[in-house]
Amino acid sequence: MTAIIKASNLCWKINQPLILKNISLDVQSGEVLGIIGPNGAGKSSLLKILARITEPLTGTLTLLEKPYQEIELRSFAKQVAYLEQNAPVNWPLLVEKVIALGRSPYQNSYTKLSKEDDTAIKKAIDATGIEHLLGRVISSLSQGEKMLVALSRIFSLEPKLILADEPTAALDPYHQLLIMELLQQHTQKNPDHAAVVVLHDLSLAARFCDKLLLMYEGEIVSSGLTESVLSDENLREFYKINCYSDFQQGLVQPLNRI
Amino acid sequence: MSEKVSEKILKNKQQFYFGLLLLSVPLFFFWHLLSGPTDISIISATKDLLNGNASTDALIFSEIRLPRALLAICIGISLALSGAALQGLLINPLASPDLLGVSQSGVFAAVLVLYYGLATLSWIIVPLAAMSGALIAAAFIFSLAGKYQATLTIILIGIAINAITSAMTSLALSFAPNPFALQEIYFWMLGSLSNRSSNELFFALPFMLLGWTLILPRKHFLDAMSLGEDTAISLGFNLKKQKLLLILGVALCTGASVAVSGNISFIGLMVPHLLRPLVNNEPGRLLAYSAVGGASLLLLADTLVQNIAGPQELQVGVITAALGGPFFLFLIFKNRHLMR
Repeated sequence: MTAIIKASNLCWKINQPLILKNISLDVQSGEVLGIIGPNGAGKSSLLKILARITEPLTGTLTLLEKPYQEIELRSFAKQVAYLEQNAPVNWPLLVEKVIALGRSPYQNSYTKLSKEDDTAIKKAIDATGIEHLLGRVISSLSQGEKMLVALSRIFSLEPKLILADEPTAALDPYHQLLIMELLQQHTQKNPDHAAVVVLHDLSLAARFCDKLLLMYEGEIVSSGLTESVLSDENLREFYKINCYSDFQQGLVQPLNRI
Repeated sequence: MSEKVSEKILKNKQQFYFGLLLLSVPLFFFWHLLSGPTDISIISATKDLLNGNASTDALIFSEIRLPRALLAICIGISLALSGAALQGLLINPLASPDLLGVSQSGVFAAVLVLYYGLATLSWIIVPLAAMSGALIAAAFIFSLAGKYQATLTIILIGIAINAITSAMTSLALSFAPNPFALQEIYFWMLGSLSNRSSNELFFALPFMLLGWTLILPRKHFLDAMSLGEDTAISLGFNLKKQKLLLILGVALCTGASVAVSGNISFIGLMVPHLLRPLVNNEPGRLLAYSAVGGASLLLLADTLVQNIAGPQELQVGVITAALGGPFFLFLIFKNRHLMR
């Protein structure tokens, strides 16, 4: 196992108080790393910094031991994919066009899709099983279907690392499980793949993540194997809830507020 | 009918309509050349031109008709391309060169030089002023939007610039030194292609060409922008650089158009809308389609302007709006279920 991304001492703020305080983390290949924490803990901000969408105030970031600044934007984009929350699409595009957009880093100003692009897109569509959605307009799909299309777009890029911001938010249980299974398969298929997923559903986190980071007010307050991070004490202290947990079943059920 | 077959039919239909559109450009071009207040024979004019005969027909053809038709094409391309680029960039179907205040700033700068009588010094003063006004507005928008260049900030700054320059233009109008100047300014503001020569064409063309070459290669970027700014960045695009080049391209295109024809409204907003169904709403492909559509529409409108009888020639902006407006409404009505 090697570290795909190494981050150390990241700080970030919009106005006064720091939103991220001295964050350091490693994303190892072959793992699904979950980032959990209450609303406003800085999970999405951290993910955007890892995805190179925002620049940190201080701190260093490396991708496969190379500092971010030394990597060309396009070659970075080929290796790291970012899945935005709700995966918005602003024009009523056809599903196949949305998926093909995943290949943007491989295209120049005037090129059309190449053979390799086509194969990668077909493979991605097979992986997510959405062939029946081709030819439809994205705005006519359900949220679950939209998420599958977004995931196909990301798979078509064949990235090493997927950074997904609450990919299961607002989905029915069937699609929640399907999306998480697909992300898990992505990391298991190839030993140098990995995924970082921001999650609110603690059961999904317990069940699908190899490791967890628990964030609270801009800091990582606990990290490691799921069982240790989702301990009763942590949930009480940082989430202010009591839970019933059964890690064999992958179940963390909130019971009451404290 | 299987889905694949219906898909193919849709594609063929789209190609057919685009073919028609392409064909309409040379057609309207020739009709435009044939139109004008005096009857001339195009054939004898061309013959005279080739033989170096300075006949009246040849002069009218080469000094009035041809430049005007070519200007209509170039301005049509520039305005529609600017509109398509801005709508894609700002992910907003309401965006147009007018919205950002770029054209209004050009108008204001031109009105200023008309107002102070500087315009009589040389024909180049007005276009030069309009061009500078548009570029200054674009630079202003870009620097004021600051580090983040948020879409909403850009739109809001544009609206503010638009309001300020419109007010200043009205102010200049109400203080106009004499009624003739007022009329001149007024007509210029409405946008017209009459009485243009090859001077204007040669003035505007380099700016427009530069603008086109800045906008057209941003095709993939505009497509990526349909997924939002964050995802566009994650797809490897340098957002700030792409935005800068696009806005500069739009400023050059709009500025050059306003500089030689005044403010021809509605083309930048309407043409991309009319053609969006032909490209499955893809903002990238829409660029080239809009360029062709803009050329065709402005040629047609300017031809009609010359063929409609009246005490004086109508303003071409009136025709583009009157022609496109109803069709525009129909399209919105038809596609309203998609605009959720």
